[in-house]
Amino acid sequence: MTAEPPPEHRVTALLAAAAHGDDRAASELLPLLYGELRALAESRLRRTPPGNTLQATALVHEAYLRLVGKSEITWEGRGHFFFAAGRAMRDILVERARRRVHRVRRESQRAIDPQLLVDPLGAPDEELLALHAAMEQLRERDSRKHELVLLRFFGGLDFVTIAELLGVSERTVERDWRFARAMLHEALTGRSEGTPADG
Amino acid sequence: MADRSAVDLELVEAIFHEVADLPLDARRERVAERCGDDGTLRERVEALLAHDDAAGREFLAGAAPPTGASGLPERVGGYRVVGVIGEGGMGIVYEAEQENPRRSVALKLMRNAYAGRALIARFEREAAALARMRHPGIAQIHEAGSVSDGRGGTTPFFAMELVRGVPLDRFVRERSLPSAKILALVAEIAEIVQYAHDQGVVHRDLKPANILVESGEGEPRPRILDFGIARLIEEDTTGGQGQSRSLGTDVGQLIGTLPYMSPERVEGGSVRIDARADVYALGVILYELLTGRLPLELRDRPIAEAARIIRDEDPSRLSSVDRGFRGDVETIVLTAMEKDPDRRYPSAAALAADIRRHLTFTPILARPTSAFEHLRKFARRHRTLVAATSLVVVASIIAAIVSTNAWLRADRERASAERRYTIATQLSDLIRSDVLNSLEELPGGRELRLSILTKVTPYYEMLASERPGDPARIRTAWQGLTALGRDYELVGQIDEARGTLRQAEVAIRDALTKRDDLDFREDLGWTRFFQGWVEYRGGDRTKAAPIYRDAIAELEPVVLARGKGSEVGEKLAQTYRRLGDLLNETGDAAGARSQYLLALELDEARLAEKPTLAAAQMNVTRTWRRLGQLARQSGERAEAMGWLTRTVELREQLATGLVSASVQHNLAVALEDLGQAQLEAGACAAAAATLRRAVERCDIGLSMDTEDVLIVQESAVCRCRLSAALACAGDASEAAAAGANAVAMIDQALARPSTPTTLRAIAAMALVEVEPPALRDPTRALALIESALAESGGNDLSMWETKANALAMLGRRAEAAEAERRVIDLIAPGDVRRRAAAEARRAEFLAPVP
Repeated sequence: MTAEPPPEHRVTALLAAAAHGDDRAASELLPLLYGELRALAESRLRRTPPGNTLQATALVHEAYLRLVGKSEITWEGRGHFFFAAGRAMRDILVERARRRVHRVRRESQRAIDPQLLVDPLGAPDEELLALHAAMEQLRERDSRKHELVLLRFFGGLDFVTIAELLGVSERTVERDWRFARAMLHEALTGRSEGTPADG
Repeated sequence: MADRSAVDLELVEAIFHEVADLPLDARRERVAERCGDDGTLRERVEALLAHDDAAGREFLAGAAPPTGASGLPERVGGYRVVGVIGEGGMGIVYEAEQENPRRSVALKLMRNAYAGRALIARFEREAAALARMRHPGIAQIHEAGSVSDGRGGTTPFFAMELVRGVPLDRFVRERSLPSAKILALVAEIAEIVQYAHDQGVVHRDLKPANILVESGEGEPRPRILDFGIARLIEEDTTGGQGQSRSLGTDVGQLIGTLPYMSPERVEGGSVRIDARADVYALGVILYELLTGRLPLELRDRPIAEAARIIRDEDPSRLSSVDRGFRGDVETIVLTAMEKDPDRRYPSAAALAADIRRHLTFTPILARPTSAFEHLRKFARRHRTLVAATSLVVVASIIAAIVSTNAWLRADRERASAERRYTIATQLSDLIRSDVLNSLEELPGGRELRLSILTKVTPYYEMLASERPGDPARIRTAWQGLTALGRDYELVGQIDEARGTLRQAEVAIRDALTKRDDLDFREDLGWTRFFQGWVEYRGGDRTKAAPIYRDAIAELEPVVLARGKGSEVGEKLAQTYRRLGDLLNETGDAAGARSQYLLALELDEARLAEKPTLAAAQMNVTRTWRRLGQLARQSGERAEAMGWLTRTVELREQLATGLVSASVQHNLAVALEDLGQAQLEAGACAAAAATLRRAVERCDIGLSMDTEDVLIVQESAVCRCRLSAALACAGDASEAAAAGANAVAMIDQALARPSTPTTLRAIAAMALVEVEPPALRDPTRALALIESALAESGGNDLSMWETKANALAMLGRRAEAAEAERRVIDLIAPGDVRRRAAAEARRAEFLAPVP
C-alpha cells in the first residue's frame, strides 16, 4: 500500500496539470480546496469576535499558502488556483447560506440590501443568495463579467492579476467591473426606476 | 411597446462607459445625444448609471475594514473616515477628514501588521523623518500613528496628502503622449526622486501606480506617493518575528511590483538597497511608458524564476520594439536598468540630466554597452560557471564548441561545398560577434581567441582556394583571414600573421581582378594596413612605410567616392596616423606632421557626420595627441599644451562612467603626455598633479583588466614620470614612493612569459629615468634595450636615446656618444632643433667628467 502524498505535492501536481489545460485536474483540485477553505473559515469565524468581519481574500491566500506552500507554481498555475478557490469559496458560502436560511425558515421576505454585500464572509445569507442568483443571470448575458465577479469578490484577486488571467487589459477589467457592479446592483434592488412598464 | 431584450446591451455598455465619468449635466446631454429618440436605450443607460452611483465604493469591494460591520471605521486616530480610496498589498487607503487643520487626507491603514510597542515607536520616529520631506512633487506625509485594531493588537497608519490624479501609465496611455513628452515627464519625476534621495530617503517601490499625474490647466504635474514607506513596512515585518510572510502573502501585489524591482532587491541578502534601486525602477518605468510593455517577460513565471530573470536576463532592446529608439534613448534606458548598481546612473539626477541632454540635442554621457560589456554580461549569465573557474574557462568552452571537430571534419570530408560555405559564414559571424571580439579584452583572452580562430582557418583557406568568383564568399574568407592575421600579431606570432594576411591579400586581389569594386578596394587597403602594422611591430620598421603607403593608395579613392566623413575615412585616418608615427620615430618629424594633418581632416569630417559617436570622438583625440607630441618635441610648448589639454578634456568626458579599460588607458596616456609637457615647462607641481591623475586612471583600468599589458606598461611609465615630477617639485619622500611603485610594476610586467618589444623598451627607459637615482638600474636597462633594438630593426630614435643614457650611467661614455650619434643620424636633416639638442647631448657624453 502506498502512502498518500502530502497534500501540497498533490495540489502542486494538479496545478501544473491544470496549467497545461487538463480540466480533470482542475476539477480534482476543487474538493481539496473545499476541505481546506471550509476548515479555515470555520476555525477563523469561531475565533473572530462579533462585529469583526473576516476577509475572504485573506482566507483564500492562507489556503494557498497551506496547500501549495513554497513550491514553485507557474503564474498560470496560481491563476488556476485562485480561480478554483473563488469558485470553492462561492460554493461553500452559498451552500452554508442555503442551509441556514432553510433551517431558520424565514417567513417575512425583507428587502435585499446590496450595501451589506461588501465581503463574502461578512454578508448576510439572504443577500449572498440573491447575489448568487443575480450572478447566474449575469453569466448568461456575459460570462466574462461573471468570471470577473467570481475572481474579484470570492477569489479576492486584484485587477492586475485578473486582467492577466482573463487575458485582457487592466483597463478592460476595470470597465467590466464597473458595469457588472451596476448590473448586479440593479438586479438586487429590482428595476424600480427607468424600467419600462411591461405590456 | 418596448421589449427590454430588444435593447442592445453592448451599445448600452459602450454609452455607459463613454459618459460615466462626465459631470452630471454633461452626462445627461451626452446620453440624450447618443440615444437619440431610442427611449428604451436611454432608459437602460440611465438606470445603470443610477445604479453605478447608488452602489457606492463598498458594494462587492471584497475586503472588510478592520472595524465596524457597516464597512467603514468611523474614526481612525484624529481622522473621520469618509470613504475608501483603494486597497493595496500593504493595506486599505481611506479618504478621511482631519479636524485641525481642516483638510482631506489619504489615510493608509496597514494590514496584518501586528507590531509591538518598540516597533511602533520606531515606525513613528521614522515616519516623522519622512514627514519632514517637503516637495511639490511628493505627496506630503502628515502624520504616522497607530490605533487599536480591537483584537488586542495595534495597527499602524499614515495620514498623507490626498492627491487626486491619474496613475502615470494611464495618463500616458490616455493622452497618447509622444515620446519627447514622456521623456520630459520622466526626467521631472527623476528630479523629484533626487530631492528625496538628497534627504536620505529611498522610495523602494516606485511604479506607475505610485506616481499620479495631476492635470488641471497648464502642465501636467507628477506627484509621487508613498515615499520611503516600503522600507518601514519591510523592516517592520521582517523585524517582528513571524510577520515576514505578510508581504509575500499577497501574490497579486507582488506580481504588480516585481517588474520594478532591481536585481539587488530581488536578490535580498546582505546587499544594501540604495538610491540606485530607484534609478532602476525609473528605467523600467521609462521603458514601459515608451513602449507600452515591460522590459522583462515575467508573466507565467514562478516567482523564483521571475527573480532569476530580473537578475540575469537582459531586457529586450528598446529598438527591437521601435527602431526610433535606437541610439540615445536606448542607451539611457539601458544604463538606468543596468543589473549592477555600479554601472547604472549614479543618481536619479544623473538620469534626469542625460534625458534633458538628449531632449536638447546635446551628447549624452552614458555610453552604449561595449563589446567588453557584452562579454561581462555573458559571464554574468553564466555566473555559476564563471565563479567556479574563470572567464577564460568559459571562453575555452566556446572554443571547444566551435571546434567540435566531428562537426567540422565530417563536413570537410564529405559535405557539399554549399554546406561548407554555410559553416564558414557562420564562423565568420562568430568571429565578428561581440563575444569573440571581447575575448580580446579579457585576461588571456587574446590567446584564446587565437586558438578559436586557428581552428577555423582551414575553412577560410578552403574558401579562398576554391575561388568560385562569388564576391560574398571572397569577402567571408577575407574577413576570417584578416581577423586571424591580426590576432596572430596581437599574441606576437609575427610569421603566422604575415602568412595569414598574405592569404587574405591574395584572395582579395584575385577578386579585384574579376571586378573592380569599392568594397574590395577597401578590404585590400585594410589588409595592407595590417600588413604594415605587422612589419612595424615585429620587424624592420622601414619595411612598414611602403606598405602603409600602399594601403593609403587603396583607401584614398574609396574615401573620395564615399566622402571624408564616411566610415572608411576612419580606416584611412588610422593609416595616416600610423605612418606618421613611424616617420616621427625614425626621425622625420615634418613628414609625420603632414600625415597627422591629413588624418585630422578626416577625423573632423567624421565627427561632423557623427557628433555623438564615441569612436569618432576618440579618434580625433588620437590625432590631437600626436600633434601635441610633435609640438612638444620641437619645443613649441604653447601649441603642445593646447593640443594635449583638448585631448585630456575630451578623453575625460569619454571615460566618465561606464567604459572599458582601454578608454581609461587612453586617458592615462593623454594625461601622461600633458604631465610631461608641464614638467618640461618647469611647472613641476602642476605636472605632478596631472601625473597623479594619470596614475589613477591606470589603476582604474587595471581594476577592470589586470592582465592588459598595455595598461601595466602605461602604469609603470606614469609612476616613473610622477617620481620625476615630484622630485622636481621637491617632494622627495613621495617621489621615492612613486619610483618604487614604478620599479615594482616593471618587475611584474617583465615577469610575464612573453614580453613585447615596446614593453622592454619602455621598461628600459623607466629604469634609467626613475627618481630617486638610487632606484635606477642601467645594467638591466641596457640588456632590455639591446634586445628591443635588435628585434625592431634598430631604427627607433627613442630606443637609441635610452641606450645612450644607460651607457653613460654605467660610465661607458664613448659608447654612449656612439649611441647618440645613431640618434642624430636618424633625425631628418630638416629638423634642426632636434638635431641640435641631440648634438648637445652627445657633446656632454664626450666631455670630461667634472
